[in-house]
Amino acid sequence: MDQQTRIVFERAVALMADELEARVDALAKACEGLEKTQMSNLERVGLTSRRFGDVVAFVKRQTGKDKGWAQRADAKPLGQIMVEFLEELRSRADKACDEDQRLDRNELRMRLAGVCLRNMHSAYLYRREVKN
Amino acid sequence: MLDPARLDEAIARAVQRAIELYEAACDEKKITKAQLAGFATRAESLGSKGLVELIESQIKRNKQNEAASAEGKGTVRPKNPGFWRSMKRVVEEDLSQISADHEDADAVHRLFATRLAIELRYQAAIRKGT
Repeated sequence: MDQQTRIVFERAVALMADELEARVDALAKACEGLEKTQMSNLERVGLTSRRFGDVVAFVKRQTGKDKGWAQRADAKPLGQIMVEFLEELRSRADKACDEDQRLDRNELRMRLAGVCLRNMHSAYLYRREVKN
Repeated sequence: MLDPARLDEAIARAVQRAIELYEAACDEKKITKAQLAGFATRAESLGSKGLVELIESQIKRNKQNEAASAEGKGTVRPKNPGFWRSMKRVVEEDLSQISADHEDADAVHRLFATRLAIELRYQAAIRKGT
């Protein structure tokens, strides 16, 4: 990726992350019932996976086996809300790539997921600390 | 080699097709969740050849049950040969195409099986209590 494209890429990530800030905060609130390790693992998967599907698969796997992810928030299991959020990230990243062919689809998906999940983890930890 | 984004999408389509087959068979009471979950869990550790062999063994067992049932010997009635034949088509057609593009058939088949197992447990969890 050349320097010009890198600037466009970083700008696209920053803009989308800003637009999603309120959603990320709301999700951090919904995740209050989860254990700390679940959130740190989610962030780690978001930052280290090679494929976006691995992040979605992580949430689905946890929903299938962890009671915290299966608990309901807004009449839906938390895991399902998170999967829908991740799908929204994917479609936003794809739309940006369709509009600017220089952007790499997989890299943008992964970067956006990484930034949003890191922000979510921070908001979750902050809420937890303030509450206690 | 397929880029990660395209591989993700191709595997997701194959898993979706397998889930649709499963749901149709489930509605007709021809297969249970436990049967497919057992298959997916065993399939996770198999490569491309192993996955096809596992399905073939299911088809073979169905044929044996069918023959035994016709002779009045068997106690297990074969209910799902159509399902496993369809599943074999998903594996042979969809996954073979993805494998040809990706160049690593074993990795593609394992990823499919893992995602299928995860999807089954996820679907069960989100439907619980609805």
